[in-house]
Amino acid sequence: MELSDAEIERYSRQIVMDEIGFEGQQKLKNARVTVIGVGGLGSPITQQLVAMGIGTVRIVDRDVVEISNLHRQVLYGDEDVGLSKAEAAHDRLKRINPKVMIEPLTLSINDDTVDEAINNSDVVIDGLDSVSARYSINRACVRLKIPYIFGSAIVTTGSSTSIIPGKTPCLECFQPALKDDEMPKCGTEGVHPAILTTVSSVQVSEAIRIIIGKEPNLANKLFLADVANLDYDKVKIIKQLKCNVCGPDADLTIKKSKRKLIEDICGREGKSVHIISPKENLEINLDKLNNILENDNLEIIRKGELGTTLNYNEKITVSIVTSGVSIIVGALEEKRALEIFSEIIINKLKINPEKVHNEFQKLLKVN
Amino acid sequence: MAEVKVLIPAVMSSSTNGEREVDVNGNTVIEVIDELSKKYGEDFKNKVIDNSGNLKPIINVYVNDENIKFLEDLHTKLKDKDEILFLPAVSGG
Repeated sequence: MELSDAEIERYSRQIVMDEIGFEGQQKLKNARVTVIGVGGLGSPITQQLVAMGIGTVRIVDRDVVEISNLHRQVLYGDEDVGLSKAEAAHDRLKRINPKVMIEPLTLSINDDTVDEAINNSDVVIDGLDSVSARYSINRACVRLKIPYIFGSAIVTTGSSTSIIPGKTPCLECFQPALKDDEMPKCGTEGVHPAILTTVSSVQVSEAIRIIIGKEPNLANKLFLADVANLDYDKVKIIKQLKCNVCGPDADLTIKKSKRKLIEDICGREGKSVHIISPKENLEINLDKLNNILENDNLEIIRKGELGTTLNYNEKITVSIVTSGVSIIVGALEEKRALEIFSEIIINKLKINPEKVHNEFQKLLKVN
Repeated sequence: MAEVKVLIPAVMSSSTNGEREVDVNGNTVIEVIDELSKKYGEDFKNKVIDNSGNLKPIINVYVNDENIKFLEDLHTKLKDKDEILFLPAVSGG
């Protein structure tokens, strides 16, 4: 697709640069970039991509906006609390640049869902906060040969690299065998907004270079930064022959991991949080869900296009997004969170439990 | 004892008095870590080794570009002129 006169004017300050240029801008217009996670990193990443005129930006996030997100997740404001991030991000990004196609998805990223999240992407950019989801993205990008711009940040430090399948080390070459429960978490350690904008800007500049056909600066290099003392580094990283994702003996067939249906994540505002991620996209009909909840006199506190948040009782709130991912805040035990999910999704909405987990009923009893 | 070169990225250099490149002696990775701890204090060791004496999951150590998780971990043997790189994994986002 050619650039219109209005687009040439809009993007003139970047078209004039050698780094992008007219042809580069056309390539941006014809590109589809997927950003996985629109939180601390994903907010500034998507803002820049959309303002710069990427043709299609797909945003994938299972979460809902919370008050404790707002100091760093710059896409959102007070009025978005309780809304699906994918929806609130979509609405904000459309205001930044209505010409850009935004594709919001409320999926939880794991080996079962990752292909749906990243298919047909020219580049995938990491705005995640979990190791297991990053490993799923890395494996899928290597298998589907999609460039993956890794980025991460915690406290005041951050890192990034550009993973080009077949050419550079993959994530499991330079950060193998990590487990989420062994990693420091932003919820407890904190994160400085400035490291997020630092890393996200590096990720965007790498993605843009890849789209317009230039060599990424971080191929075979890991960018490391610490805004506490303004230390920056580019460290050489090398493909590992024994890597089980991109090494010569790697098995690239799709592996369905034994992932957890329910995650107990660190508390939000002092309350326990359980996230339930069905194995399939349940494509919840929110109108139907809202009608059922209202008929049962449950108080809906936030009604959106991609999710609903309700007060289940005085102590427990439940957010359900269209994919079926459910975030239950305030349930003291996994068993209670699963019971609430089962009551709403399985019993009230009549969703087949097999779509949630092969052994859902068994899990419900065991817990 | 093998004479090896240790490379420290800037983000970890607060544990090595700001030094980024250090020559030390050691026949295995754990011996090198012990040497560095003698030189810079327990703070360095606490940064890379957990309470059970294992390498912390968030620390990757490379010997001549090979991750020791794919070799013999802390007991990976070293020879003269080997380069040891400490690289922290950054989580979150």
